[in-house]
Parts: sequence; C-alpha cells; structure tokens
Amino acid sequence: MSKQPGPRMTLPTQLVLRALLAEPGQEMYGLQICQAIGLPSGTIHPILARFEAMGWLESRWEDVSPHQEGRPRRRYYRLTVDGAERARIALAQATTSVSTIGLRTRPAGGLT
Amino acid sequence: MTITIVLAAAGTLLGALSTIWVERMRRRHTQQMMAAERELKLAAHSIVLKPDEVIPPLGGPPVQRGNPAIRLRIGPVSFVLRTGRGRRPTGPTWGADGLAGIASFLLPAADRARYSEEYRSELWDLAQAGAGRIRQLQYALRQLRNALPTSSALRAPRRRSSAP
Repeated sequence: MSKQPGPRMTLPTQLVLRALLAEPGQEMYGLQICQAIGLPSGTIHPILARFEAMGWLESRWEDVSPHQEGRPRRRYYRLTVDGAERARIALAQATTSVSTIGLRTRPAGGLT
Repeated sequence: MTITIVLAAAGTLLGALSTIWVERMRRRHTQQMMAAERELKLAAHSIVLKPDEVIPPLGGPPVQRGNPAIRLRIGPVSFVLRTGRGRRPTGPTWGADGLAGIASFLLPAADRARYSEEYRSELWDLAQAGAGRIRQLQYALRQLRNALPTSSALRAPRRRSSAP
C-alpha cells in the first residue's frame, strides 16, 4: 500500500494549522484565522480547501438567518479529531525538518 | 369693452381662487408636518435608540442591521434618522463584490455557491470593520489570484489518505 504524500508544509500552511490547533475545539472563520496569524485576508482559502478535502478540517455555515442579521452567513472551520492529531504530527515533522536543514547548512569544521 | 371687463374679472377670480387653494394646501401640509413631528417627538421619548439598533421600516427599502440610517414613516412624511457612529457602514463595494463573484465562478460548479457566499461574507465583515474600497479590492484580487489553487484543492479527491 503506497503512502500518500502529506500536505506541503509551507509557512502559511503551518501558521493556519497552529492557529486552528491553538484551540482545537473552537470554530474560526476565514477572516478570523487571517487576523490570528497575521496573513492578508483572502490568502488562506486554498489551504483550508486542501485540508478540508483531506478530512483534517470540517466546516459549517453559521447558524443565523442572513435576512434577520442583515449580513451573509460566515463559514466556520474546525479541525476534526483525526485532523488535529495529524496536524500536530505534521507540524512537529515540519519543525524537525527545518531544524535539520538548519544544521546541515552550517559549515562543517575543517572544510572551509 | 364688456368682454374685456368680463375676462379681467374672470382672471382676477381665477387668480384669487388659485391663491386660496395654494394657501390651503400649504396649511394642510404644515399641519401634517407638525403632527408628524409631534408623533416623532413622542416616539423619541418612548424609545431610546442604541447604536446599530434597527426599527423595521414602514414601507421603503429594508434597513439592515448595522446601518445607522433608520427610516421612519409617519403619515405622509418620512424621516431618516442617523444613530451611532455617524458614518454609514455599508456592504461591500460593487467592484470588490463583482471580482469576488468572478473568483467564485472560476471554482468547480459544485462549490461556486458556497464560496460566493463565503467571499461575500468576508467582504461584508471587512466593510463593517472599516475597510475601504482599496482594501476590499485587494481582498477580491487575492481571491481571484488564489482561484486556481483553491480550485485544484477542491478538485482533489475527498478524504484521501493523508498520512503526513
């Protein structure tokens, strides 16, 4: 059984996961996540869509009537139980690989 | 000679009648205005408007929550009250809204409606937070730029095995 490749852990991807993992049970909407991680609004939907397709995230519409509230409904995202566990592992591995790269880029003693 | 006198008299009479009619209409309008103002003052004493509080309009376009413009219609006279911060928070600008619509149109057909509403919701939140036309346009342009990555993410098979 071939192992599917995991998500590409770019910096925005890691930031989104960290924001969602900060309080795994809490639902957040897109702008809220952007504000939490300091990314410009409108940049995280590909990441959210990718994680949702992978089953790490689940989303739902806000339970309000747009007519009564006078504004469109928000879309709330939350990590699934399985997704939260996988996200923790992925983040740990991403951090490890970054630190490994950092060690390898150091000049080896005696060769410089 | 007689005809001239008759015509002059008729003209004078018509002029006098029209003056009386105009005066009567003006008086009636003034009375209506005074009555409406009196009712409005009574209403203002009985209700205390909070910022962003909405009174459903009697006729006219619907007033949305968060819009400090409140339209009151009392009798034949309508008033527009302003409450709250003094500026008129509105929804997204048409340009940003249109671009966000195009961005959602580039997504798979099954997801268009969802993302269209989601983008509009975020634009609305941005507008409510005080984002101007430029910031709203920037948001919509980012969505447009990210339409292809979002589309490819949405086309990926759902719930695939995703061991990191």
